[in-house]
Amino acid sequence: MSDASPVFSSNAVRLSWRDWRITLGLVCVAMLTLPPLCRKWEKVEPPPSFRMPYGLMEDYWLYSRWAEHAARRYPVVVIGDSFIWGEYADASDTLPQCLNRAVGKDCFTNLGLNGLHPAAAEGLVRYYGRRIADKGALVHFNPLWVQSPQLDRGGDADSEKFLLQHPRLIPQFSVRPQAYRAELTERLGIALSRELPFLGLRNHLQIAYFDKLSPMEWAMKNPYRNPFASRTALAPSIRKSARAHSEPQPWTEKGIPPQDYPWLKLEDSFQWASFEREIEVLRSRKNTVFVLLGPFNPHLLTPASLGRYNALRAQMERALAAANVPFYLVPDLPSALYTDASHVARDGYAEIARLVLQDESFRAWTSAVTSRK
Amino acid sequence: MLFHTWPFVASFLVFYVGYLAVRKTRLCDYWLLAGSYGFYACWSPYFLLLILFTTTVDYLAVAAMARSARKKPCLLVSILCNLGVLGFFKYNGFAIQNLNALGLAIPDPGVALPVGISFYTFRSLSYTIDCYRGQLAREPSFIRYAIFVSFFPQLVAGPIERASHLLPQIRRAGQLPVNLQGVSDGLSIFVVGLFKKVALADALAEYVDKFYDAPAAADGSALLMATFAFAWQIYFDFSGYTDMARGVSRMMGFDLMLNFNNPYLATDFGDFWRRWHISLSSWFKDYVYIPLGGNRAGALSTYRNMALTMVISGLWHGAAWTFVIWGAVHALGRFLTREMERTAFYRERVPTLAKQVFVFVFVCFAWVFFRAASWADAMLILRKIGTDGLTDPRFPIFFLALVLLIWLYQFLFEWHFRRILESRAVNIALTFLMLLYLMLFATSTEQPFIYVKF
Repeated sequence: MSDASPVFSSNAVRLSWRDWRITLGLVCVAMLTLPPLCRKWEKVEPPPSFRMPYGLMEDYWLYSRWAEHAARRYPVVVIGDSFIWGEYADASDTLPQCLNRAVGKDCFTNLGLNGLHPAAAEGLVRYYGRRIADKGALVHFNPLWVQSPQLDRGGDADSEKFLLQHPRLIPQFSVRPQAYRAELTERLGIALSRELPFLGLRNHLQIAYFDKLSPMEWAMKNPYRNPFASRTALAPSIRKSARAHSEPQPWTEKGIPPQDYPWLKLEDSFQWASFEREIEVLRSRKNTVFVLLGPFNPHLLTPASLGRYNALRAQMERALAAANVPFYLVPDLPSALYTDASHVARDGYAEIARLVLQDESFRAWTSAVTSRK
Repeated sequence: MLFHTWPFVASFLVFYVGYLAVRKTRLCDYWLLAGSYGFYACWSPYFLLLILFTTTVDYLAVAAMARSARKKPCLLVSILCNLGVLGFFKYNGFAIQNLNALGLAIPDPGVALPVGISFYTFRSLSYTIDCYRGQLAREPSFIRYAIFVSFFPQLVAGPIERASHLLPQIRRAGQLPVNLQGVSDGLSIFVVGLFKKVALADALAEYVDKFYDAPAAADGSALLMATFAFAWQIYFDFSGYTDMARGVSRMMGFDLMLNFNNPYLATDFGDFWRRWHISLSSWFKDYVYIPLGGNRAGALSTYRNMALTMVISGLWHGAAWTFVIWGAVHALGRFLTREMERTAFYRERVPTLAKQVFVFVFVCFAWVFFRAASWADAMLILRKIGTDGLTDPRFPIFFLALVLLIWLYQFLFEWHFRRILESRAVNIALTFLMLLYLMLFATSTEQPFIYVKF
């Protein structure tokens, strides 16, 4: 613009209203085209026993790509927290892989995420699981999430910090856990990022290419590297996550004292309500759902706590039966198979796979979903 | 509330809609004042009383001047009140520290520094002095005067607008052109400022802070690069703030003065201060340098006046001896380049680029005192830069390239290629790239502006 003068500015950037419309149009085009272009550019070639890399657990863009890939290749997706992901097992020894070995073909795939409490799981399937519609969904519920009001709600009413992982997946405006107190702008940003793939891509770039750092923080650590030089930036994380994340040591060797968990009633539980909504979302998308309840280590509970837990477990069974959701309650396993309150290692997964495949309703469900075209 | 945060954007949108609705009515003044006080209350509601005090004292002082033949006592009251408030809140710790160094044991009262006090005090002071000199007519409306002192875009970090420029705009706020071109202009300036602050200043701060916060552990090359980075960080930070302030004002129809004009292209120190923090340097020129005698009484008194002005300017920036030294180094730079410019060789034979590089290097040298936490740190940094061998400073190559490209852009803008840079395609492309970068890579660190602390 010829009338730009030093009085207006010390640079030449001065757009007319028409120029702004063109610029904003270009920005919109970039927002629409960059995500699909990035999908083409970035290689995501998951190995057969793939699970989300540990360091990329909050990369929901990658998760949705993995879910899309999994939905094309496998008839059943297995959704859950670190129990499904396999905290104490190699990627090839997790429950989905044990089930595959037991049935003799690749039917089940691991869509678990570490720290995925039911409220987060609801958000995950609602916003990032659209591509798994129509598939068989084996959904895990870990009773650990309802062992206390603090865990159920992510903290006390006066907690300064939200204690649960995946805050970007929980409801931002409707039924928030009481300890979640993100600022309005942050919650708005999160809500927008679920609907705009461009913002998901931004999150993905930051997590996968900048190690969750700002560009300058990353550049300070890697001053001469181009973060986008490799199209397979995910490969190292995938390789690393093939191994167990924690040492598969039995819980009895860790010195865990008896736990007196208070346990919540189902009707008071935020996490259970979220779990029910998760199932509703899946069913509304024509997913054929089967619920896996447990396991939970009864050996580390005090007798009083065990009594409350058994009552709660019965209540869960009744609730699922009333909702007409097929389920399998993992029975109490030998103490040596547990690595902590709610996890097992390789042998535990193999045992659970064996047990669940003996269940008639599970076999019927499996054969129904695997025989579907 | 910082300009580059969503709460500001949301609040401004609400304010702007209201402004558009009331700007042609009597409510306009009240709306502007409420918006400005509301903005300041987000920083520190209690210190609003201090702004109100400054505003009332200066308004009454000028009103008294208009009624009385003896104007000087009114001016003195205004000056004493303003400098008294500034001295108490900004310099009490510094004074006590120095008195204690002389052997006293006065406890530090730990008075908090009100945000933007140096800016609004100087703004208000300029009004009383101009009225005293008869260069400005008294503003009859207290509300409008209060808006002038607290107008929110420039409230906490300038520019230090003069009453002669801003008050007439406030008086005819209802007639100011608020149209699509104004909004487009405002957005253009705002986006450049946002990019400077978020993409550049905050990024460079990571490198600068790492080495300047622990200079003993850093080597000379890294400290040299950190000094270079700080020169650009403070420029991007402060000029970014000013750009955003000007952009917001422009959208409302107000025109704030240009505060930075590519200072790192200056060919001498006089030129530098005509390009850097222009509103402050012109304030010091009009209210300190010229009253001291300016350059009217020979070379020696000219240099004395320059030195005093620069040292006071240094102290204005911060209550520490390092800021005084920073001012003194700038005074030295002014003497040097002024004397060199007197020689035909320097004036005619030395290429402009060499002069620019010399001034930039000298300015960087001065920044060491400005940024270092103490005199000892500054000396350590200079010693290390001077004596340590060359090592890899591990300065991120992308940001170095970005800074050098911006420097090149400024050269081209002031050279023969301005027409190309002003072309529509280049401007659209640059704005698009800035927006895309901000959307993809900017992080919401909410780093405060450096000058807000002054």
